[in-house]
Amino acid sequence: MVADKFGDGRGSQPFDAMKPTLTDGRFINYAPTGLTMSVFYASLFFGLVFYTSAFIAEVVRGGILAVPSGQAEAAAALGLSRGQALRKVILPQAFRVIMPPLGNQYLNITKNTSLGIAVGFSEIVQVGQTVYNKNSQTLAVFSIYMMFFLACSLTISSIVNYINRRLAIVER
Amino acid sequence: MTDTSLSNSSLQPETPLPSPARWVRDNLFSSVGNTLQTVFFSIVIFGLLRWLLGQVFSEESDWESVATNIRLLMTYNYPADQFVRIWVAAGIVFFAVGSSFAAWNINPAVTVRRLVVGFVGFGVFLLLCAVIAPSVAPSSIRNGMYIVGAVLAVGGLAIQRLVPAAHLRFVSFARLLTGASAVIVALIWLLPFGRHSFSDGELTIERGVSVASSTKVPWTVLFVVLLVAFFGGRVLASRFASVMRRALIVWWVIGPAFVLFLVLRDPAFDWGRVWSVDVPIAAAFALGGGALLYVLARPGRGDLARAIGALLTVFAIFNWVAAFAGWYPMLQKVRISFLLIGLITLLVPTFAGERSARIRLAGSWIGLVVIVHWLLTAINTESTLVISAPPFLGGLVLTVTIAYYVMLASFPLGVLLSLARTSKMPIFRVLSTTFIEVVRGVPLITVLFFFSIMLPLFLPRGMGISDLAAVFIGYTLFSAAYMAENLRGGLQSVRRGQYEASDALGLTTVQRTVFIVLPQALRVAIPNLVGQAIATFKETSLIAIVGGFDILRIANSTIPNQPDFLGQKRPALLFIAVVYFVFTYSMSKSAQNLEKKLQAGQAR
Repeated sequence: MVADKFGDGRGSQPFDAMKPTLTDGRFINYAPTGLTMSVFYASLFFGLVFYTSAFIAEVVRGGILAVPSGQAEAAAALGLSRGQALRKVILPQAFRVIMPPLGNQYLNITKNTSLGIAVGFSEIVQVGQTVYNKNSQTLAVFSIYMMFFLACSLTISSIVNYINRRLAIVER
Repeated sequence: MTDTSLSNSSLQPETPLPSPARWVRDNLFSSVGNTLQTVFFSIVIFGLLRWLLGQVFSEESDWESVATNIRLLMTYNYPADQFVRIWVAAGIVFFAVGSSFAAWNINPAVTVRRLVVGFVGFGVFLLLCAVIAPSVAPSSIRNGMYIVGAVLAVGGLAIQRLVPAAHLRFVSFARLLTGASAVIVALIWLLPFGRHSFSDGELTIERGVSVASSTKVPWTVLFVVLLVAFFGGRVLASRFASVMRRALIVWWVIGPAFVLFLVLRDPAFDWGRVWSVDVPIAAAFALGGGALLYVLARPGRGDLARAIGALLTVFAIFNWVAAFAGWYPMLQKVRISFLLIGLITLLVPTFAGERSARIRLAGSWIGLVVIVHWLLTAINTESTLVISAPPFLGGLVLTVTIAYYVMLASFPLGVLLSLARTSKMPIFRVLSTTFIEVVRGVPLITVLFFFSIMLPLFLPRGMGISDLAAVFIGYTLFSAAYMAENLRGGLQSVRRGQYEASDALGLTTVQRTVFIVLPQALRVAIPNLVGQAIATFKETSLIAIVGGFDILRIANSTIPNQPDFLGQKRPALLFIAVVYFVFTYSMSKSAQNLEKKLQAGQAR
C-alpha cells in the first residue's frame, strides 16, 4: 500500500492529492487515491529538506550565540520566562544576524533542486538535457538555465534584502 | 601512556568528570519536560539505529559486493600489474603528511579524560548496537560487538580510575599517532575479513582468514612510513623547522601534480625528443629569463622592468590569440613560458633589492621553469598504462584528486577575483562582480554540464581537452567565485589604517597588497575557506553525473550491474557514506581546531 502511495512517478504528477472516488457506495481507501508522491519527487524533496535543515540549524545556532549573553540575563532579571525571553528578546536580535546566511540557504535550495537529475526526477536541468541531446541546441538550453536560475536567485535575494532592511537597526 | 607536560589549554581548568549516573540525571532527566524529551528522542534514535542495523545485516545486503570491489571503489580500473604505483603514490603522501605534522609541531591538547570519554562512549554505543540489532544479525558479529564494547567501556573506566587527575593530563600527539597506527595495522592483520578476488570472471571467496598479504603488507609499510616521517621530521624540525616548512609548502603545492602525472600516469617519454627539443627550450627560458630578471630587479630600474614586462605580456597574449586563430604554430609550453616571464617581469619592481634578493629571484624563476616544463612535457606525453576504459583516474582517488586540485587552483583565482571586486578601478570591479554573481547564481551541475559540453566547441581545431580536464576547469571557476566572496569578507576586515600606513611607508600597490593586506585578510578568512574546502570535497560527487567514474558512481551504478551482485546498491552506498563522513568529519574537526588556534592568537 505504501508502495502504491509513492507510485512509479512516471505516469502521474510528482505530488498529487486526488479526490477519493466513490465506488459501489464506498470509498476505495487505498492508493492511488489521496495523497500520492512519486519516488523521485519524494527522494528529492526529503533529501533537500533534511540536508538544508542541517545547514539552517547551524545558521540559527550561530545567530542565537551572536546575541550577547547579557540580553538573556537582563530578560531573566525582568522576570521573563525562558520562552518569553527567547521569543521577545533573543530571537528578534538573532534574526538580524541570521537573515543574510538564511537567504543564502534559500538560494542554495533553488540551486540544489537541479540535483533532481541524480535521482531521476525531471526538473529543468534534466528536461533541458533531453532537449539538447535531441536537437543539439546546447547554447539555447544553457541560456535558458542561466536566465531561469538567475531570475530565481535575484528574486530571492531581493526579498531577503527587503527583509534585511526592515530588520536593520535604524541608525541616526 | 600519559604525558604530564601541560600545554596552553591548561589555562582553562576542566572540571573533573562527574559520575555517569549524576551526569545522566543532571542532563537528561532534570525536569518533567526534559524527561519526556529524552524518552521521545531515545525512541526515535533507537528506531532509526535499529532500522539502519537491519539494513546493514539484512539478507538482501550482500557485503561481499563491497569486499570484492574495494579496489574498484578506491582506484577504478587502474591496471593490477601496475598497482605498485598506487602504493608508491600513497607512500609519498603519507610521508608528506607525517613530516608536515612534525614540521608544524601539531600537538592537539587531548586530555586523558577526553580519550576515556571517547572509549566509553564508543563501547556503550557498540553494546547498544549489539542489544538492539535485529535477529538477522549473525551471532558471531553480535558477540564480537558485545566483547569489544565491554572491553572498551570497562577499559576506559579503568583508565579513568587508575590515572589521577585525568582531566589535567595530556596525551602527546606522538603517542596518539603511534597508538592509532598500531591499532589500525593490528586490525588489518587480525580481523577475519576474508579474501575476495575477482579474476577471469570468476568470483573466489575465502572466508575466515585475514585480508590478502598484497593488501596488508603495503598498508603496514604505509603506516611505518608515516611514523618514520613523523619521528624523523621531529628530529629535523628541532633544528631546521623553517626550512622544512618552506620545503613542505612547496611540496604540497606541486608535489601532488608530480605524483599524479609521473608516478600514477607514467608518461612514455621519447628521450630523443626530450633532449633535442624540450630540454633546450627549458634551458633557454630558465637562463635567459633568469638573467633578465636579475638585471631588471636592480633598484631604480622599475620603469624599465614594467615597460619590458608589458611588452612581453602583450607579445604572450598575442601568441595565444594567434594560436586560437591558427596564424602560426608555436609550442604550447613556449606560449605558457612567455606569459609567465611577462607577468613576472611586471612584478619584478616589487621584489627588487640587493644582490642576494636578485639571485633568489632568478633562482626561483629557474626552479619554476624546470617544474613547469617537466610537468607540461609529462602531461602532453602518452601514458604507458594499458587501461580497459579511458579515464585512468577513478574511485576515491579521483574524488580526492579533483577536490585537492580544485581547492589549489581556485585559491589564486579567488584571491585575484576578490581583489578585483574590492578594487577602485570600475572595469575590474564590474567584470569581477558580474562573474561572481552569475557563477554563484547558477547551480554547480549546470556549470559542469556547460564545461563538459560547451568547452570542446570553443576550442580551436586540433586542440583537445579530456572530459575530466573540462570538468575540472568549470569546477575551479565555480569554486573560485565562492572563494572570492569568502576572501572579500577577510579583505573588508583589514582596517583603513593599514592601507594608510603602508602608503606612508612608500610601498607600491602590489607590495601593499602582497605583504600587508593579504596576510591579514587570509588569516580572518581561513575558517570560511576550510568550510568551503569541505563543501568542495562533498560536491565532487557531481562529477558522476557528467561522466566521471568517482566513488559514488561506482557504488551507484557500476557494482549493481555486475553479474555477481545484480542490484546490490545498499551496501556500497552505506560504505561510501562512511568514507565521505570520515573525510569531511576530520576536515571539519581540524577546521575547529584551527579556528580555536587563530582565536587564541587574537585574544587580548
